[in-house]
Amino acid sequence: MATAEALPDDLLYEILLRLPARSILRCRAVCKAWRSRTSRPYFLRAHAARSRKIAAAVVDTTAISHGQFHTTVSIKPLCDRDGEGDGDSPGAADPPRAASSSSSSSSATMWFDSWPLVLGSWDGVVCMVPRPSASFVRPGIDRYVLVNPLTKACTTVLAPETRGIVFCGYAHPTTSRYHLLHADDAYPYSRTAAATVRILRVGDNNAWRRIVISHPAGVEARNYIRFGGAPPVILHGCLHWLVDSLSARPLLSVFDMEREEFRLMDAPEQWARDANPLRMKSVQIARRSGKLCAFVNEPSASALGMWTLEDYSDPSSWRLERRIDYSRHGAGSRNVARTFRNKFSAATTAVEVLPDGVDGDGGVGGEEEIVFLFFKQFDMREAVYNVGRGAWRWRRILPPTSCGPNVFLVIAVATVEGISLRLLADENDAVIESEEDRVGSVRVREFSAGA
Amino acid sequence: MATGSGAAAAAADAEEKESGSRMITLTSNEGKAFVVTEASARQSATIRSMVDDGGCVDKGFPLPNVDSKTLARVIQYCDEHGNKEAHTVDERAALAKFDKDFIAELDADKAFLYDVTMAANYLHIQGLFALTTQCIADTIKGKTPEEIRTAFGIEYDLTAQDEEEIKEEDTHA
Repeated sequence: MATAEALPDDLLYEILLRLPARSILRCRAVCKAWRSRTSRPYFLRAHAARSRKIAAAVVDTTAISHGQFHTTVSIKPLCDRDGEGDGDSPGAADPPRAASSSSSSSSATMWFDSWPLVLGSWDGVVCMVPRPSASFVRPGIDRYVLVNPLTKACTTVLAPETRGIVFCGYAHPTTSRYHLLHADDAYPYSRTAAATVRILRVGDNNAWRRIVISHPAGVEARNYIRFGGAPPVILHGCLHWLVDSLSARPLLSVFDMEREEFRLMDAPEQWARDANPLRMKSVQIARRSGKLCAFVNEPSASALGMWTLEDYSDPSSWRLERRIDYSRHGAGSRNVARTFRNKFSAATTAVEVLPDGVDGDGGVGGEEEIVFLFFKQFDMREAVYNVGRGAWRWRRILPPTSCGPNVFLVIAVATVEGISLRLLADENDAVIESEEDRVGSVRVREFSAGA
Repeated sequence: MATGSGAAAAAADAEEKESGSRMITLTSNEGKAFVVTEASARQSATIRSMVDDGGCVDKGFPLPNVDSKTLARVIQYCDEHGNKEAHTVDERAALAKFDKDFIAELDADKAFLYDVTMAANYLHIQGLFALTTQCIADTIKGKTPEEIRTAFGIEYDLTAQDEEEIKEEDTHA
């Protein structure tokens, strides 16, 4: 008869992989062996790959008095009920301690001297601009505030001495060091950024480096990355965005995090709007079974075309895999159809493909589901499509208490990667410089030289 | 289900039935022989590849790492998933219910659950492996580090420095 101690290493690995992020933290306090097992980068990456990538960053700001603004930043897993989120529900087996702390477990409290503007949330780190009042572009932004709600780590970063804005951040795939991408020419009205880009490795003394972008001849020199929308798709160590391009071709912009290079990738001509070749159809990209996939809205057919890039190295290998009908199905059908017709776009819809389904951690008969999250809408729901059964349903993603007049909702990537970031921070102290005060209340001080 | 994929599935079924009509003998490490349908045996990727490689179908397969009690339970799972259809919603629901009851029974006897998990790992039975590992994960889920140590018979060996780090990590966990 086997005892638990006899479980071989590879088996324990598989078991730990199936745990929600919060339980992983507890496993790190069990013994040396478990601690080292759950610290290895490949484990953390494998764990992150199994979990939902998209979470909601909820930023709640209250004006206390003149020049005093109290901001709470939390990352909420998208769940049916409060606390259920990552499957670690405070059920009967859970000690009450965990239940009571679960709501506050992943939030950081900060004080600002002005109402902070939230730019976005990438890899579990929320990026804010503390004094956006003067002007959106320049000289309005002089610094950025980064906060990781899971670690309560916070740092300020000086903006480069140019116009522009930070449009994305990411944790480096091998070092996990947090990086920011800054576009020198940004167009806040259309919320697009031209790719004259600077990069900063956070912790490197605010040394912004310029990335030279060389496009092949004949390709429009500037490509436009949409910011403020869904986070980019991460695949093969690259970030992927759809390009709002002035050229006639549908394009993807690809940033290689390892080599720090931008390139453009061709997309099928069918994605271009027939009548107006300068504009693309409403398309959003996602990741499915390790491949890049795209959902192309065809309102006239009441369907989404699901495309797959069969061979990542060959941009001509995009194939229309199937059409997802959003007109004919069960209850609430009209609602789904109307939402897709009017609201589906790269700017307003985050798409995530879940191989085991939304509730897949039950382990029994997980079915592939695709989640469409319409985040500009404030009803906090997402449309879920079951691929096998071809059925739609709506799902509430945040409890109503999360909404309020002061709440700003942004879509973040990965609660779990936020945790990974933090764990890796142990070995790599500069992932995010941490303020002295770890208790949870962080005062964002005026940034001065040497601070 | 769309008609197109339905037809394809039916064709695949016909093929599977043909090969599934053979019987295969699996022998436990205690020398006890279990005769199963090929469809059932093919739930195991290990056996599947041996069969496809033209291995000793007639002589049967000795499984030196699996005892009789464990093998019987594993076969119970393979029979259900290998011999039954899972195309309609009802059929899938029936299988899901089987899985649920199957794992609930195993969950009551942890030592046996670990045996079945290791057998599923050795035989590469994906569905069973996912089921049992998730079940073990679920028992870890709600537990404190101390409870996990007790449940898994682990000795506490963390250093003062580890504890310091854990305290920092734990301010919010």
